[in-house]
Amino acid sequence: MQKGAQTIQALAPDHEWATWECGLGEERKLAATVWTIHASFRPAVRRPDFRDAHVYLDPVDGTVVHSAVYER
Amino acid sequence: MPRSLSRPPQVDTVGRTVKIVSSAALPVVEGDLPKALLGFVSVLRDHCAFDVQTRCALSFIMTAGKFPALVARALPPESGEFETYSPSERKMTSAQFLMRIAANARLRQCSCDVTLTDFLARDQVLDLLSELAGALPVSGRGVSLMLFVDSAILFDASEPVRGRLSLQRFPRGKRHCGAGVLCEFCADSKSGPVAKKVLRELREAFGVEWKKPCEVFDPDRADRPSASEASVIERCIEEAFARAAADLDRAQAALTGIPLLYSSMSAFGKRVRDVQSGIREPVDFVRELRQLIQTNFPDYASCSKQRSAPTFRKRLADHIEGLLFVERLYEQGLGKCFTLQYQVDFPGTRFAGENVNVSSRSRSLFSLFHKGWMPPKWAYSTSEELAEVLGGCRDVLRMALPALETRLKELLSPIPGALPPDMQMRGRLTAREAYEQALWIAKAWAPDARFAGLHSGGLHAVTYDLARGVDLDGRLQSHGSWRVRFESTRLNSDLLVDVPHSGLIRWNSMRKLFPMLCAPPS
Repeated sequence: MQKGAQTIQALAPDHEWATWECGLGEERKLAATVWTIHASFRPAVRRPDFRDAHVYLDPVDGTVVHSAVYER
Repeated sequence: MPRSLSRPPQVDTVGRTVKIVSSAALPVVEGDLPKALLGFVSVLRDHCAFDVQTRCALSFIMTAGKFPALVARALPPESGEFETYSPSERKMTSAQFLMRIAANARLRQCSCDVTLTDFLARDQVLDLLSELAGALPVSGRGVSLMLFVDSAILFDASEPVRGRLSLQRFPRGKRHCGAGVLCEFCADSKSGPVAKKVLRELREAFGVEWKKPCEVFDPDRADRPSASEASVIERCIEEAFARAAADLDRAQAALTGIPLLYSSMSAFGKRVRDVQSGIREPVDFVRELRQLIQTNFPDYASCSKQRSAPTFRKRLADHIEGLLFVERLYEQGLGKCFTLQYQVDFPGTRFAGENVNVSSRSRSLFSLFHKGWMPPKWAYSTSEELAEVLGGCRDVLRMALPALETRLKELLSPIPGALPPDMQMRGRLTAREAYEQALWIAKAWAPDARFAGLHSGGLHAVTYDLARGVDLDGRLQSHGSWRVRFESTRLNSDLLVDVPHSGLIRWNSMRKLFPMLCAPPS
């Protein structure tokens, strides 16, 4: 969880987290069972920002399998 | 904090106000669109003031470009959303649209969406609408028009009243043209002197009959409970459901032998088969249901706001009412299916309406039988089947209601300010710890149950920011829970086990909707 949170913080620095959730399960687009963390960000004032981000981690060794941020 | 040390939430009924709404149809001149629009404009001119909250939104689709052009000319160049129905065209501003019209005056169809009050003052809006009315053809041929005025001040009333006025006109359909007004104001009650006076003043001013007023939930009211207060109430309700379910387990109450009670998907299948076989009969479901409740559960009084959602209300204790809500399911137009929910309300307090959540699956009465996630449905096609269905419904209610009512009274009367001290405290569990606690339930449910995933969750109250079920260390927060999913090949079913930070573990099973997804964890 901490590693995933750090990954998201690196992808979207200076973003305030509004809410987040996590889970372990099959992710079809990766064809693998992964630990997923999803964070949504509060809207930034007067600058372009990201809406939310996903990070997918290997549940065995915690390596980042995939990550993505999405623009608002 | 122990319950006894906490300050109970105020149950203050003195000086409390509620939001009241009522609506009325406005007369329109059928068959003469300019007159209909002018009549609507004169209602706005004679009875409505605008302020910063007021929004006047105009949408129309027309076969001639000159009418949107009339609106475009009245707006600043960068405003509005105009469109022509050419496949390559994108949405245009008013200036771009005017250039497009200049290049091709014979556009076959175009549309306009604009909030006029973003750019124009009240009098300019009314003048523009009058000018548009003067230009439209009397027949209204090829014109679809929607005009909404939100949060207008209805100044004929002596109390502050806001109104939503609408005029809609479609080229086809049973009702071409319609207009209406909905008013909103605050009063002590819907039947008190303030409400009566306001509606009398509006009736005299508008010259139309207003519908019976009703109280509505006001998300902006000043005395709303705080997020933590609402969380305590919500979790006590969930705990009451969980404890009642455990009571029913101990009593070995089960849903076996209930006629015509189907899984969520099978009910639709039954209706399709019956309709295809020509089994059809008009049946008055609501009348039969009311008779059933009146005869067997006389404490539950009908309080339906509409026939499509029959609701029955029983006073459980001071300021606590149980609402038996019959959710009718239309099954892609085939109808004749329904399921049961149970809501809790706190009338006469500032918690009134806060915890009534008809979209919450945890309020399904079938969650008492561990079937709340995809609740079973009754389906019927004939009056004989309906009689059979209602007999089964009575049996389910006879099992469920006493258990649930007892637990709701125990946990919610008086309205709690903190979680009850006898609530199980599981603490800040990790996902693995939650899995271990869920596993024995899964193995008891099906010996071949295997882990299929888990997810963090919290209190998903729409208006409160409490959805973060875990902290960034991956441990449960005080309002959170882990939802652990198992699947069984033998039962072709999923099991969802909710392991909360505090409170009983809840579990629900359901038939699988999809094939097996998850490989067993290594």
